[in-house]
This record gives sequence, C-alpha cells and structure tokens, in this order.
Amino acid sequence: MKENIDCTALVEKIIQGDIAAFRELVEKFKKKIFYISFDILGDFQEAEDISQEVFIKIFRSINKFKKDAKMSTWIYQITVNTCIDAIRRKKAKPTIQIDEERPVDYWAVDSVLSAKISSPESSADASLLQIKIQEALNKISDKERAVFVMRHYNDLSIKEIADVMKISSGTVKSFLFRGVQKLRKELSFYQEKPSLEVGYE
Amino acid sequence: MSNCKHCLKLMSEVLFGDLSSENKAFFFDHLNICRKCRIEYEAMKNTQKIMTQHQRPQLDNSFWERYWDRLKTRMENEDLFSAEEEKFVLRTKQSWWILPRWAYQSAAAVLIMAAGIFIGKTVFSPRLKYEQTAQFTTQKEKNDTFDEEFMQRAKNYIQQSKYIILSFDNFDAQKEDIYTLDLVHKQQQSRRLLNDAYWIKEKLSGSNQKRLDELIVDLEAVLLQIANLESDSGLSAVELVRTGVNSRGILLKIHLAEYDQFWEKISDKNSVSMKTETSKRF
Repeated sequence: MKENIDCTALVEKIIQGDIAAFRELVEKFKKKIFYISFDILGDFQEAEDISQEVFIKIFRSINKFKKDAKMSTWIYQITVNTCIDAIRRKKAKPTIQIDEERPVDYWAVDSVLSAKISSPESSADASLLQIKIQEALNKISDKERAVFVMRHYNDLSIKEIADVMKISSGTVKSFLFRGVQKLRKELSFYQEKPSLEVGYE
Repeated sequence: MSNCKHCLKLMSEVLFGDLSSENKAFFFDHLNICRKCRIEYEAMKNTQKIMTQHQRPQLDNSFWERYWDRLKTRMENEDLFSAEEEKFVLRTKQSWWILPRWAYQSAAAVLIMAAGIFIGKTVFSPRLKYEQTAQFTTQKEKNDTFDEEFMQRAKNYIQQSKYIILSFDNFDAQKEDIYTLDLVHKQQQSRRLLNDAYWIKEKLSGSNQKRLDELIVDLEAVLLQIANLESDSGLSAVELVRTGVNSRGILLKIHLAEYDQFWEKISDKNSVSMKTETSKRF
C-alpha cells in the first residue's frame, strides 16, 4: 500500500516532466532491472543496453501505468518482455560479436568473480562452470528462463512471478519444473551421485 | 506405476511450492521405495544447487554512480531529453495519440481495403476505363497531334540514331580496325542527339503516342551508353552497344516507325483522321 502511494506521486511528477522524479525511479530500480537482465541474457553489455531500454520504455509509457497496480510488477513486466524480445531477436538474426573497445567503467566486470563453488578446485573450473550454467540457461525456452531467474536469482515468489508473466501460479510451477528438467540434462556432468535414502524436508 | 506418476506430479510442488502433510508423507514414503523417482528427485535438487552457483558481475560503485549519466546521454540521443533545457522533450501528457495496438491494426486494415477497392475501380473496371479513355481522347487531342517542327526533329533524331547504331551493329572486327568506327565522333553525335531526345520527350509528355515514346526512350538509352564509353573501350564497346540494341529490339521499332505511315498519323494535317482513329481504338 505504501509503495503504491509513493509511486503514484512519483508517476504524476514524471508525467509532468520532472527529471528529479524520473531519476528517483531510476535509482530505485536500476540494480534490480540490470541484474534481472543479466541473469536472463548472461551478457554484461547486453544487460546494460536492455536496462537502459527498459527505462526508456518506462518513460515513454509512464502515463499508461495504472495507479492501483504495483509499480515493481509493472517494471518487471517491461524488463522481462524486453529481455525476451532481445532473446528472440538474437535467435532470428544470430551475429558474430566483435570485441570492440569497451568504456573504462566496464573493466570493473573483468575482476575475478568471488568463488563460492564447492566442487571445482581451480578458478578455470569456476569460470567454466559459469559458462556452462549460462549455456544451460540459453538452452531452455525464454519463458522458462525468465521464470527460473526470477525465482532463483531474484527471490520473487510464485505469486509475484505469476503477476509479472500474467500467467497462473500453476503455470509458473510447470515452467520451473520443465526448466529444471532441461537444465539437468545440460548439467549432467556436474551431477552428484544420488544418495541411498531420502528424508523428510 | 501410477504411484510414480502421482509422485512426479507432486515433485513440482515439493520443489517449488507447498504440499499438505498428507501429500508430503506419500511423496517421501514413495521415494524410499522407488529408486527411479528418488534419482529423479535428487537430480532435480542437484541441478538447482548447481544453478545457484551462478554468479553476477562484481561492479564497483563508479559503475552505478555513472549509470544515470549514461542513461541520460542515451535519452538525449533519442531526443527524449534536452540537456539545454534540463527537461524531457517528450510530452507524456499529450497522450491522446497513443492508442491501443488493435486500433492501429484496424485502421491499417480499413486503409488497405479502401486502397484495394479504389485500385480495382480505377484500374480494372471496364466501364470506367472506357469513360476515362474517351475523356482522355477529348482532352488530349492537342497532344496527340504535332507540328512540323516536332515531326522534323523527331524524324531526324530517329534517323541519325539509326545510323550510329547501325555503324556499331555492322562493324566487323575481323575485317575492320576499331579506329574506323571513329568512336569519339560517334560520342559527340550521341550527346547532341541526347539533347534532342530531351526536347522530344517534353513534347510527347501526356500524349497517347506510346510507341513513339518508347522508341525515343530506347534510343536515348543506347545513345547514353555510347556517350559514356571510355575512350579506349575497343571491341568491348561495340559488343556493349550491340547488346543494348538487340535487347530492346530497337532496329525493328525504327523499321516499324518508318514504314507504318506513323508520321502521317501524328501530323497536324491529319488531326481529324487521328480523332477517328483514336475513337475506333476505344
């Protein structure tokens, strides 16, 4: 409720052309949007482009935002749809990416990622695992991927995901289940051996 | 087997949702006795565990601090933000033109249908075509008859173009030297004739003399080709011109123009018979 009241006032100011209000919105949601984009697309530069595109779309369609709706849900909807469009565009027109000179800020990404991996022993293995994880995600459908990353990497509840994707909770669980089944096949190399007994959880 | 199916259905709830205590008990009891379902469940859980090892890029504060500046720059490039005025250019208040997609699609469908009906009536309707051509005949009578000056220049143009073309067409590379073709002189003549072509086409504009118009244009194309040849083109130039002439059937058209009483038909003196001819055609 409080979020709604705050956002309504913010939206009104943005519609009036208030730059400070729009900046406030950007600062509030930039990390969320960036990371969801990165989790879905797996590429830093794409995530940056897509997140900017999302904010531009938000700006262009701010007057369409329904005041009684939840702002975060609306923003996540735009983010997920933009990411899915990007995936489909890439599939339609696969391109070979040329390594262009990147702005200085982006070198922050090239720092070694902090390893939280138990099984692989070397940093090379850690990097390989990251590549494998992203490759596995790329193999599942765009909706399964979006649902998976929202659940596992962005802590959205099943209900929230259902609202974002405009599907039922049951469908969300189906997407998750099917997605994990497909991921399992892709990551069979990393699977541990099954235990003999399973206890209650 | 049916227990395995039921177990698989419940697995989704176990992994991602909530189960009642009764269903939970069934599920785990089944896993204790069914190796296949147990392996499946373990594998699903292991997969989730592996996937949680996905890592995000470590970004320092400067990246986030400059995020707004980068976004603003992009919005300026897309004309959404004016740096001078420090405000948004797009007036979000003026949203009356923002319609739902179906509205644009419906409008596009109506426009396409209207265009189709219009084209059908104007191009394919026989009655309309008759009326139009009859009207055309009345309105364009003047343009279908030409004065003495036009006749002279048009005939001259065709004749001189014919001579130039024939000199290329009749050239025998085995018996003659390329210099006998006098390419430079031919190019000068071609350029002069191109000026005449322009004048003749102006006069023909709007007339019904399609055959003459076509011939003038075809000759113009070949003359242009000749005029633009490189000075040291050689035999390839001859072949190029011949190809252009043959592909357009120019010599045949010239022949028809010369022997079909064509000039009499379009001269001023025969304007009455011309009108009759035109009416008969339609």
